[in-house]
Amino acid sequence: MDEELTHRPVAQGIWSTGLHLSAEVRAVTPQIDRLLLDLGVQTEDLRQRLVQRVLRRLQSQVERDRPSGLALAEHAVRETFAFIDDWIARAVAMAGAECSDLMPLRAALVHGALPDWPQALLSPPLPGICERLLAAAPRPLPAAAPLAMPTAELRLRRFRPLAWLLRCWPRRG
Amino acid sequence: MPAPNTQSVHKPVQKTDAPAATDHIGTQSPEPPSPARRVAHALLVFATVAFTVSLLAGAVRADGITPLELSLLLLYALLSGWIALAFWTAVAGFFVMLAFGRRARRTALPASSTARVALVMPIYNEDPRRIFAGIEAIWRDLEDTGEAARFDFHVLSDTRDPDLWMDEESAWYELCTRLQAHGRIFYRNRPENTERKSGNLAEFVRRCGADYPYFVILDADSVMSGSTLVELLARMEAEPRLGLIQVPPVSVNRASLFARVLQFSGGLYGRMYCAGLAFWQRGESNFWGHNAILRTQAFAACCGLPRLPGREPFGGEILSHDFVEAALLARKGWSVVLAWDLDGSYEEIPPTLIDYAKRDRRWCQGNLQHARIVGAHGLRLSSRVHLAMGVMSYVASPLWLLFLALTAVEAWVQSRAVPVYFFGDTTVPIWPDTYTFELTSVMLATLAMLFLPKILALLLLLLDGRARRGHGGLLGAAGSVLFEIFFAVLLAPVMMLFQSKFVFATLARRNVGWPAQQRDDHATRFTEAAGAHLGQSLLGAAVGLWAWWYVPHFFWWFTPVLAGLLLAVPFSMLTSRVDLGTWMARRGLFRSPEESDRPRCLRYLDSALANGPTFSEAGVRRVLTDPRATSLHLALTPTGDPLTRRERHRLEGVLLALEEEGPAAAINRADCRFFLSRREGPALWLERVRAGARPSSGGASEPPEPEREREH
Repeated sequence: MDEELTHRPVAQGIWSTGLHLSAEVRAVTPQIDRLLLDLGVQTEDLRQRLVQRVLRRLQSQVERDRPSGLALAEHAVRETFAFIDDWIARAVAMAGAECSDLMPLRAALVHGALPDWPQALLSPPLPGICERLLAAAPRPLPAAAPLAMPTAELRLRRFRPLAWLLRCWPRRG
Repeated sequence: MPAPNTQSVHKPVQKTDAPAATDHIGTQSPEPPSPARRVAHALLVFATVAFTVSLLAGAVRADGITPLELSLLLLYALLSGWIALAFWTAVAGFFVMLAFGRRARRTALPASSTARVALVMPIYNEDPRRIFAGIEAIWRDLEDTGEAARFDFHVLSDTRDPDLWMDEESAWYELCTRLQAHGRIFYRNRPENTERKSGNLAEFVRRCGADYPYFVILDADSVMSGSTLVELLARMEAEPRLGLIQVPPVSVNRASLFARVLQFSGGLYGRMYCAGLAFWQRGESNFWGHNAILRTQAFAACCGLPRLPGREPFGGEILSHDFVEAALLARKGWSVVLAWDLDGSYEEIPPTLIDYAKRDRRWCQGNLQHARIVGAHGLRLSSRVHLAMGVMSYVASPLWLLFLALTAVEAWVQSRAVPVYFFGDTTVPIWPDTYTFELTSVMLATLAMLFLPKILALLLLLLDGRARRGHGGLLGAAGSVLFEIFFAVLLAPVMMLFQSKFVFATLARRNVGWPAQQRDDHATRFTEAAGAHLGQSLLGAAVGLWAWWYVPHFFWWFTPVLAGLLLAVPFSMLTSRVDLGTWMARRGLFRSPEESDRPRCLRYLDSALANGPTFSEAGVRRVLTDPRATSLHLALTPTGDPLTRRERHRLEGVLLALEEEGPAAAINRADCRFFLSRREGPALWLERVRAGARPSSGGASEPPEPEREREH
């Protein structure tokens, strides 16, 4: 179930989560917001709620690693994707599936495999989501089924017309 | 559940020398070679050559044959043999079609058959919209047959252009999603395009050939109908010794006048020639590189192409792999068949004369390289003939050029000879012998060999109502043939000079590379036409002046050749125009059945092209700015080995350039490919640009600049 959030706009357009967010963490809100927008989260309300989730994750990271400035902003971008990936990993685990690489599932998600994915991210994954993601995940290669293909032997003849003529020439004696 | 984008199941490598692959060799071939037909064909060709050469020899030997005349006779023998070969092939095709009509035989697919077919499309810097529209068309047409589940698609990209590569990825994923074809349409981009197309195919066979008993090779502009693909599968299943079936592709879809003429002539005469080829080649036919089905085991066992000793252009990688692969299959006893009776095989041709010549330049080097393979040990005689024909199709041009030059010299020599009418004390003049009969006969025989096949094709049209209507009715077709003859007269000298140049360039070891083709209709600009043809026109003018001045009686014989050269620039420009082609088509000229009664798969293609994805910005820029495109690209990029220190520096260099200059930074292609081929590159860039390390350059989807004032 979604955790309680207090959507209370503050002076700089930051919404309180009920958890204390440091000023430098709040400062990366526009980057996360824009990233989510470009990922296809069109609804502002949804975006705000997702931003809060990411910010809270980020806050705990900041307290541990103390990044600042651009490093923090980069961290925020990473954390946004980590937030999505964690949700996908939970969906995969729920389905009892094994998936060593979440990247294809993330691509499927942001390309609309689940039409309401931004909303879905706010709740724990429901059963069946993993299957839908897997069905839409890019699969560039089939399972390997190797077949030996040896190099063919092609013995070329050397075409030497002069030598051929000399051989044909009648010899004395 | 298998992880996507990973080859989680690794089957053991299947050996191609396993009994299953070779058990068939001892069984009866479906189309055993027919020595009688070949001998008959060869005799007809030799008889024709002997007849025309004897006439010509009769005209020149009266006062002894000079070395110049001997050279002319030898050249004419060679060239008339080349024409006679095509002529008798057409005649054979005419009678075959007269006997069997155009109806294709149908083979039932055995109920027990579970064989799967891979439709593989090797691509190299092609238009992604066209590639995936073609795949969609085939997919939809296959679905209509009810056998679609047997067919998988493999797009084997050797594309080097990073923008096109990224577009291919997006178009592929979009198509898979739209058709719900994930796991049925596969795509990969090779890191290195070693051994070009043959290496590309070999990589596919070695990676997953064991899963598919058969595979169909498609070109980037190929379309094949579902029913034809199912028929090919059925024929392969029915005949275990069949190694390859080539379906002659019909040229379609181009609208320029140049392309229309070629499409019309290919459609009208092509099938007749193919029927003739199939008649004398039987089960040792040829492979044209695409629109063909192959038995995977046979291909894997026989067709791993070696590198030729020596350096390019005659050594190194085998460029034109298809003829050689057919020869290698035939060498091991596999049947190679030309299915002239099958419809539903289409390709697109270059839209302009210059594009046509560019394609010829690529093919020329590949075909000339076969001169080294013609004599290779163990090949079948028919394979040697195919290889030699491939060589001759280019060497014929410089030979014609030489023939014309020697003819001009001979005419000049003759013009300088002063006729002597009185010998000794006799007062009765002795008139010089005239050889008008012999020379006219030679000319008529040559013209008959060139033009009779066109009349035969028109006769066949009389018997086929559907084809007749498709070609614009008998009058329309006859008018088109007349115009096509005029077109061919103007085109032939231009192509003769182009091909002669290509042959000499190849002999001079000037590598031509493997440039991508421009396939869409586009009008040739004056500068482009002048650049390509001005030299030819100047040569034509110089030869014309020389002939007018020194051999005026011979000048008129030269006019067809001179006209083609002098008019090359306007001819090239006019024939590239789509409006002229459309104008002609509206008047019933150069129409093809595929236009008037559009096959279903081509209708699917039209629809797919109309509704295909559009990319608002270049592929690399899109991947660098749109996080969804980045996510897709990262999903398709395998997690490679950890970066070495040097690779890290290289990656950092690209990142710095991107930070300095933005997504439009001028990064060389190799660095760009390296950057995109590692997950670390786009992932790091995404973090940096999104974090605002680089100010945005405008646009709604540009990531924002960090709001630094809030950091404090």
